[in-house]
Amino acid sequence: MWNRMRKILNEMRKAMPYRNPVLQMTDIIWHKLKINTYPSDYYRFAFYKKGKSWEEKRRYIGRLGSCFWPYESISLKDMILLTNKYIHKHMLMGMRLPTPELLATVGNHYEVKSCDELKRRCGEWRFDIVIKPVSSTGGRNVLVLGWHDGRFLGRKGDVWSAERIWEHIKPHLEVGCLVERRVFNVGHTREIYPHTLNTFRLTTIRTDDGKWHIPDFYMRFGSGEGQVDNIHAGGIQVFLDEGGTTTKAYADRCSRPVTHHPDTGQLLAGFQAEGYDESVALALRASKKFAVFGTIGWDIAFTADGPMIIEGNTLWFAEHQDVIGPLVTEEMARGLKTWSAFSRFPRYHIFPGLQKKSRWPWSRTRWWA
Amino acid sequence: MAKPMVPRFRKWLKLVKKASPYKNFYSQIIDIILTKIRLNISPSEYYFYAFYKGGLTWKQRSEYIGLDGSLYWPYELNRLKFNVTLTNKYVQKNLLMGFGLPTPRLITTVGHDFQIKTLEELQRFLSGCQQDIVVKPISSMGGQNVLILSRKGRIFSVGDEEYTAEKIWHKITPQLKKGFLVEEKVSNNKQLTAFYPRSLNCFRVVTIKLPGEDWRFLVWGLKLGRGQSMVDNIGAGGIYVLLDKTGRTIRGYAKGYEQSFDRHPDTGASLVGVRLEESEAVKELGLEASRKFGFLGTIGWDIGLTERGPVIIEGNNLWGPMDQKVNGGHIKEELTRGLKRHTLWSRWDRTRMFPHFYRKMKAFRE
Repeated sequence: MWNRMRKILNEMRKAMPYRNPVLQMTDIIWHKLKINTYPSDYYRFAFYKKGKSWEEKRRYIGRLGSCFWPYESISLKDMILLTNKYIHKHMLMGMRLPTPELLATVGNHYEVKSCDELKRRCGEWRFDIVIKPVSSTGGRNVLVLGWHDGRFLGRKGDVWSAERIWEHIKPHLEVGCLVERRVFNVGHTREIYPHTLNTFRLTTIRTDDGKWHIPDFYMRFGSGEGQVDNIHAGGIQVFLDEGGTTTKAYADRCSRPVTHHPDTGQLLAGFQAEGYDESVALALRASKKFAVFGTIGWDIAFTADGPMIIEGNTLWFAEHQDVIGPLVTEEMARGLKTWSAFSRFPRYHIFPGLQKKSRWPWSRTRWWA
Repeated sequence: MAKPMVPRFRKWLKLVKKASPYKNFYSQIIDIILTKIRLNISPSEYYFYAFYKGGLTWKQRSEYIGLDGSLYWPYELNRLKFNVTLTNKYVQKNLLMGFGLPTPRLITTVGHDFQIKTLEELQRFLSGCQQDIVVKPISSMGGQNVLILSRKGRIFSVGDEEYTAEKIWHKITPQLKKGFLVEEKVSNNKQLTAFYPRSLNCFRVVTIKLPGEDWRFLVWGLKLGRGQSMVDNIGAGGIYVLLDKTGRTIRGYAKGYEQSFDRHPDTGASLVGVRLEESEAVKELGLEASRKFGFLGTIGWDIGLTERGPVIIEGNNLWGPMDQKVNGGHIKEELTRGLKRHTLWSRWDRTRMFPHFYRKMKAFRE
């Protein structure tokens, strides 16, 4: 509670040069009533500043509700197809969409159930591997191991024996882990930061006329000690123009503009991203195959074998709209449902606050969890 | 929609009358209440399994699985969030292909959000398609709305009836929102074709996995089409042939297991004591597929046996346990240790399958 309070006060103080607290309150209520903007998004997108029209403001997508809220097209019963990486991976393979090779599945309900079995399988892999939990977000607990001189090495050059890998996997045995062959970027994308797989985030949204749009597209590069390129793990966001040329870059969850990669010193803006067109085409093809979803945030890496889908995400969120502007274009707005402050969201679809914990103990059973 | 009151009442009266030679009305009521309290079995299943006849101990009755609830209810091993992997045939098909399991080839998909969206596109596809195909809804059960189309020269037909692209489109239009799969048609091997040649006769292999254990085989049978039907589903008039553990036929049953057959009524093929070829491979495929679907706890697989070997037609999470009427209860001693006991007052875990969840959770029927 205290932290939340402090956060809100901080936001209000930031907005003080533009509006006094009483006017901010009035403005927040007015935004909620008029364009269904949640108070936190009011501050996140700096709606207290003058200069944005109502028409422009209503096209921002908020996590907890907004005038256009594309997530509502996702049925809760289908979410598992993206949130469970084991199911997701096999769907991709079944649909013949390019994705890194799956080497094994480890866990109580999967093919490799013991340390001995893992040891035997590790002996067969003479290349770099990636181990990731079946259910996780933000690149948490992902282990990337390189194959050097007959053994697996971690990022810092530390040796990973099968026993050590097993110890890493052990807490996730019930959920399970996937072992994939590691794929690599090519060209300048690899030069910018070679230690992680740097991906395109391509968000697709389907409008009422059945047309797919890609309103959000950017690249992510790992940084520091990270093994993944996720923004929450310290990744750098590099925005692109329509033709796939990088325009601007931000670190620290879009709060700090950068021009060069902090570790390699490579220039981040002004180069043509390799495989952009192919990746866009793949995102559209995959979205059509996963037609049960009305919106998906695709993570696609461009490799020597072409674009590859790393994963799709249901609850993607574009916090960076404060720097790139609203995601919903005028054309898209015509084909999306509008929500007001009093609209009732269908509870069998994704609804705002879905992932928030209920205050009422008797309603805490969440069958999708 | 609720069933009309009068036909329901008439149905109940019929059941009571059928049971009256064994127990009078009041004894039936007491027995039903006791069965519900002790075993959590619903009145309709009390009559279906003919518990009124007597002869079964309470322990034997406790081995029965009731779709509406029972002392042991294996379907709760399946978590609701994974339901879509079997109930949506498009998802299931892609998973089967992704797992590398043998299944009829998916040729295309039809529907608002699928590959073929218009009549013109369907016409174009059919004109270029030179093989027999099966068109099945992405969400259906009991073989409803399945079209098995045979290519005869320049036309497609179902049996002797010609099916033009327009006619097919007209048939599938009401369900276009959910969509259809178009698969290659596969045929039975010679032995199964001899039982009944018009449908793909499938093995029903039921597997179960208790917490902390590996998958095991529970029960199986052979489904046969009957009376000009193009599908083998029991709900569509098919015959269910019980099999022993070695894959030898025991006897065929139909119409709620009220009718029994020594021979197939259409072809005259013997249904008793026939050793089925490759039945072991069918069972193994059922277990292999279950291991791939390790996030579930029990699956009823429909497996067709073709000249190329066994192929998975589909998996079902709410498989019918009706064969218990002639087979006896499925929940033997070794299974009771891993399953939760449910009394009348037990609270069901709502994150898992529970009786009537299809009725209660409208969301799943959308």
